[in-house]
Formats: sequence, structure tokens, C-alpha cells
Amino acid sequence: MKVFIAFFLFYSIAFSNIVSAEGEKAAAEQGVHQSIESLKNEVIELNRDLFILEEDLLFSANTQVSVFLSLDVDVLFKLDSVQLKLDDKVVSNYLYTEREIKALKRGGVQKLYIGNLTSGEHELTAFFIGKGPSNRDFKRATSKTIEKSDYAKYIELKIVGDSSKEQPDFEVKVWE
Amino acid sequence: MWYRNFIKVLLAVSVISVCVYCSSARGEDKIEHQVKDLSYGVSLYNYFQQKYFSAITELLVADHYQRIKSADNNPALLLGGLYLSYDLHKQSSETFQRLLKNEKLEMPVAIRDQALFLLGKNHYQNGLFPQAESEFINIKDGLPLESEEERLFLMNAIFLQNDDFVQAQKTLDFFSSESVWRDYAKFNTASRLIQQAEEEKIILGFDMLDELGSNDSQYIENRILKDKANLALAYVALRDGDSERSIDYFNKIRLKGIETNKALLGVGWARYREDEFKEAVIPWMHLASSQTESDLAVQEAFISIPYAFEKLELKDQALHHYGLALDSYKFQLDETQQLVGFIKSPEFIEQLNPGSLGKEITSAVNVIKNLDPLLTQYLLPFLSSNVFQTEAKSYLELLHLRYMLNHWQNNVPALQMILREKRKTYKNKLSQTMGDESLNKVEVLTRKSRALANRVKQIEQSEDALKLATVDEVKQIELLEKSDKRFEKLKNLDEDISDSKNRYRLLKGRLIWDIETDYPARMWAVKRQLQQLNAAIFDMNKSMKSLERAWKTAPSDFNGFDARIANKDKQIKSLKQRIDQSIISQEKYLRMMALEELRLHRNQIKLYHDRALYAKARLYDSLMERH
Repeated sequence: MKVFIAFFLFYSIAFSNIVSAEGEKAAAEQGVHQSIESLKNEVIELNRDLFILEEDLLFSANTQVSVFLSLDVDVLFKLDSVQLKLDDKVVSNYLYTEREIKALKRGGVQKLYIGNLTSGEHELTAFFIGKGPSNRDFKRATSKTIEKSDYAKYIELKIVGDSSKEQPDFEVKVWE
Repeated sequence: MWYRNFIKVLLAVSVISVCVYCSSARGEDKIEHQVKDLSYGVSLYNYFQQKYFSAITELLVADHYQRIKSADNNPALLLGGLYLSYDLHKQSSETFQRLLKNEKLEMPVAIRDQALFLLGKNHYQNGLFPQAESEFINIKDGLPLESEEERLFLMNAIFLQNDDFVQAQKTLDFFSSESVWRDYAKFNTASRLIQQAEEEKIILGFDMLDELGSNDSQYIENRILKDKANLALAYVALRDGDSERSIDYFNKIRLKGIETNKALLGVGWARYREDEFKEAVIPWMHLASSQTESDLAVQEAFISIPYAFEKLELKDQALHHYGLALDSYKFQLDETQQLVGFIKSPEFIEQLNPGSLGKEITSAVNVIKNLDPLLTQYLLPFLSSNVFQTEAKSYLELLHLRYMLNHWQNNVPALQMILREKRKTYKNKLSQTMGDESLNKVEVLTRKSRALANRVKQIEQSEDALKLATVDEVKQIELLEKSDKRFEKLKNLDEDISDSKNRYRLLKGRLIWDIETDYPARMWAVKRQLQQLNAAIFDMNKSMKSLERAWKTAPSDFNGFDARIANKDKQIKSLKQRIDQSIISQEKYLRMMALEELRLHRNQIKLYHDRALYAKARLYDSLMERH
């Protein structure tokens, strides 16, 4: 019984000992962890290089167009999906998860689409599908004519709340 | 070790608090997000979903293209925090140090303090305690409350590492009253104090545990700490022979908590100590009938019950319960033997793999859900421990890295094909363009422009205004000249043409006068048109040269892509090989850890089994002697 009591006493109170014991164990395992850490960093760098290579090759600056989506935190709208059309052609359909909506509400911005456009005027249309005020089905579209120049074009689709109308509002912002 | 997981959770909170705080305008009733940089926002989007790998990549790509334009230091702070969350300590430390050393930047106190805090935490996690302390001390007052409390907790831990109990105790005064961090720090301080040799320190440690044990907070973490403090105090009282006091402490522990089984076992022993064997059996029977047979406290209860019956002189019952204990131990030994086979089988590794390819893993908590229920029944404390969770997380991260490399490896042929197609299309288009006949007109137009310029120059030199006459004026002059010839023919006739001649003279004079007086304006207009023509021809030539240049340089640009793709392909293959090896090593390590834990568990059961067997034999002997 004494052995047992001593065991539990040690277990219950020896948190500080665990700190130092963990330190020694950590030192022994450091080699393995360092090797994994190094691999992780190398893959991140390679991933970055490959993204850059892909973008340079597929979406050169003079034709590139990227569409982003942001969401106001208290918007009177629960977003389910977005459909994006460029010159009346569907280029993206996206269905959102709960986790993604939370990330958007916290200030995250989603890269919805990246593609190529020739210089000149183009029409961008976005359809927002979800639940509006009073949990009713809600579908709205917003459209904008964009002028594609020789530089990459960044477009932000913004879903904002309009408390005066108690309705969500959909805006298109073109970044310079 | 428990606090390390806690730190990780709060790390996310602390970084988010700064990032969101700085990237949002706080209103009275609502928060409106103002996107300052799209790439920064995309990185945050991944970060909020705990996709650290993607978030880091996004920031690095944005940095390459210089897409982040805002002047504040949130991106660097976010990058350092992301590295830390992704357990890339070296990169995290370098990022924060670079940020803090950049004297050109006018950094707000809040950002500077957050950078110092995260850097200090990085040092702490790497066991560099003096460096961590130094960073924490340099923090002014720009930390949000949550981070400030965490800083105090880490400072307390560092002081305890240095056996500086005075400073460790002082830090406890700076926490807010409801802080769970304070209770953790107090528990750590008390645990260290009661292990010291000086009585004064031991008493102080017990006083602290007493305070924690009387905490009436409703928060779950405070209640867990309360149970732990009471359990420690109860066993110390039991060790010191004060059974009644120990029961008081045991009674404060919740009936449904992680310490419940240990408390029930302890209550039994306290009663046993007081020779209250009947009362001792009650909590042990309760434990034995619980569904947690694999718990060591329950196994101890199995063998303790017959001990108590022996003391009560209920030998038949004692014999019966030794039999039950032996059956239970044998059953558990069989089950754990099956588990040894299971851990050695490929199925164990398959169950560790979540199966959702490409999903970025930030925690291995869900692994437990996928594992064989029998394994979790026996090894739940181990599987939930930080040691196993850290190793399992590393394993899952390696699987994700392999997934990413496979994805890119599959994409390399596509990239090569796209490059080939682009090259082909480009060549075709360019040769079509260059072969276009309209391009030859540029040369003709240039020649014409030069001839025109020479003509204008001659007109200017001769000041022959009539050469600038309009088409109508030229027609009018020609008509007048024809009239002059007719007058010549009519001069031998007797008809009086003096009136007509006079009118002709007036008209000619008026026309020439108009042209000559308008000469400067006409010359200016001609020169202006000539300039515009030259400018248009210049632009045309420029475009032609650009086309020619593109024609000449395009092959070398494509060659650049060829080399880049080939180089990355090589890197992918080499890294994939190393990752495959690391995955195999990590699988072996996880298997070894689980087997070792199971071995210890089995040893404990074997020990109880042997003790029960011996006691049963002893009891049989005594019964035989009696008969």
C-alpha cells in the first residue's frame, strides 16, 4: 500500500519534475524533430517556388486576373455558395464550409479565382447564394465591367451588411 | 507537460488577437474588416482555419511578388507566429529578430511587444530560458490581457526552473483575479515548493494547494486543478497518517472527473488505515464495478477488496474476490497480448492515417477517434499525452508533406506540356505576325514621311506660300490661269474686256493675298501634322522592335522555364525520398512508443496478477490448515 500511495503522491505533485524530465527527453528527441523541422521548411520553400513557377508560367502579369472574396463580420447573410462568371462564362463555383465562413468573418480573404483575360473590357458577374434575414433563401447577383490593362488585375467581392436596409449588400472593388 | 498544449492553443489566440485587432476598425457594436492587403487577408484566411502550411506559403509568395503594400509590420509578425505554430522555431526566431532589429521601422509598441512575446515563447519552447526571460522582461505594456497572463505564467515557470521561488511567487500577484493561468502557475509553484527540504517552503506550498483546493470557480480548468490539488493534499495527509483529513480532501474531488478513480481508491485506503474495512470495501467495490477496468486504480481496487475481506475474517468472500481479480487480470493480459499483435500489424498505422488526403493537420486529437476502441481503452492516458500527440502530429504532417510533393510531382508533366504548347503557339503567332504584309507598310510610311519633311523644309526655305494652298485653292488658281490664257486670245478682238480683266486681276490678287497672309498659320499646321505623323511612326517602330525583341528573347525565356521545372522536379524527387524515409522512421517510433507503454501496463497487471495468485494460495493454505 505504501508503494501505491507513494506512486500516486509522486504522480499528483511532481509536475515540476516533469518539466525537467521533459527537457532531457526533448534533448534526446531533438535530432528527429530537427530533421522533421528541416524537411518541413524545405517543402515550404519548394512549395513557394512551385507556386511562383506555376503563376509565372500560367498567369503572366499582363493577362492575370484574380478574384477575392471578403465578408463583413455581422453581415445579415449566411453564405452557402458563390458562382462567378466572366463574360457570361462560369469560371468558378464554390461551396463554403462552416470553418471557411468563420475564417471569412474573422477577417480572412478567400482567393476565389485566378485566370487570364485579354486586354479590354470584360464583364464580371457574381451570384451569392445563402440564407438572408429571417433565414429565408437568398440569391443575389452583382455585376461590374472591368477594364483589363497590361497589368495584373485584382478584384475583391465584398459582402457587407447594410443595417439601415437590414439587407446584405454586395460590392465589387477593383484594386490598383 | 500539460501546459504545452495549453500554450499552443493560446498561441493561436494571441497571434490572432494582434492580427485582427490591427486589421480591423473597432466600432461600438460591430467590427468591420478593412482589407489592407489581399494577400495578407488570404494568409489570415488559411491561418484562421489552422492551415499553417498554406498560410506561410501565401505570405512567402506575396513577398516574392511584393504584393503586400501596407506599411505596418503585421505580415512579418504573422509570418513569425505562423512559423511558431507550425513548429518551425528557427525560422520563427529569425523572423522576429529581423523585425525587432530593423531600426528603420517605426514600430508601434503593441506590435513590438507582441514580437518580443512570441520570440520569448519560441526561446522558451526550445529550452533557452535565459533568452526567453530577457525577451519577456523587455516587453512594455502593449500586450493584450491574454498574452500578458501567458507571459506571467512563462516567467513563473522560468523562475521555478532557476529555483527562484521568491520571484516565482511574486509573479502570482500580477495575474487577474479570475485567471486560469494564475491557478496553473500557483499549482506549479506549490508542486515545486513541497518538494523542497526547508519546512517553511513546504508549508507555503501546502497553503497554496489548500487555496487551489478551495477554489469555487465554475470554469472546467480551474475545477480540474482544484481536483488535482485536493488529490495531492489527500495523499500527503494519508502518507502522514492523518486519514480523516485525507478523507476530507478526497471528498472535495468531483465524482465525475479525471481524478475520481484515484480519489475513490484513496478513500478506501484511508478507511482501511482506520481499520474500517467494511467502509473501505464500498468505494473499491464501486471502482471494481465501473466500466474502466483497464485503469490502474481499478486494478488496484480489484486486489484491495479481498485484502479487506481477509481483515474482516470473511475468507470465503476474500477467496471469491481473489478469483474475480485473477479472472480480470487474465482477461486483461489476453486482451493486451492481442493489442501487441495489433500494434505490430499494418492496421495500426492505417488507423493513424486520417484518410483525408491533402488535409492540413494541426492536431492529432482526432487520431484517437480512429483507433481501435480496445487500444484507446488501455492506453487512453498515453494516447492523450503530449508526447504521443506531438509525435502523431509530426507523422500526420509528414503525410501531408508527401501528399503535397505527390501533387506537384503529378503536375510537373502538365507544366512541361503547357510550356511546350505555349512555345508552339507563340512561335506560330509570332511568325504569322511577323509575316503580315501590313508590317511592310511601316517602311513605306517612314520613307513617305521623310520625303514630306524634306518638301516642307524646301517650302519653308523658299517661302513659297502657294505650295501650301489647299486643293480648292489650287483649283481656283488653275481656273484663273485658264482665264488668263483666254484673255490673251481675246486681246485682238474689238470687244471691251477690261471690266472682266479687272475682275480677274482682283480675284487673283485676293486669292494670292489670302494664301500668303495665311502662310505662317499654314506652315505651323503642316509642321504639327508632320510631328504627329512622326510620333505615330515612332510608336509603330517601337512596337515592331518590341515584337522583334520578343521574337528573339522568347526562346531564352522558355529555356528559363525548362531549367526551373527540371530543377524543381529534381528537388521534389529528392525530398520525397527523404520524407518517405522519415515516415517509415516515425511509424516505427510511434509503434515502439505504444508497445513500450503497453509493456509497462502489462507489467503492472502481471504484478497484480502474481500478488493475487500468491494471496489466493496463502488463503487456501490457511483454510486447509483450519480444516
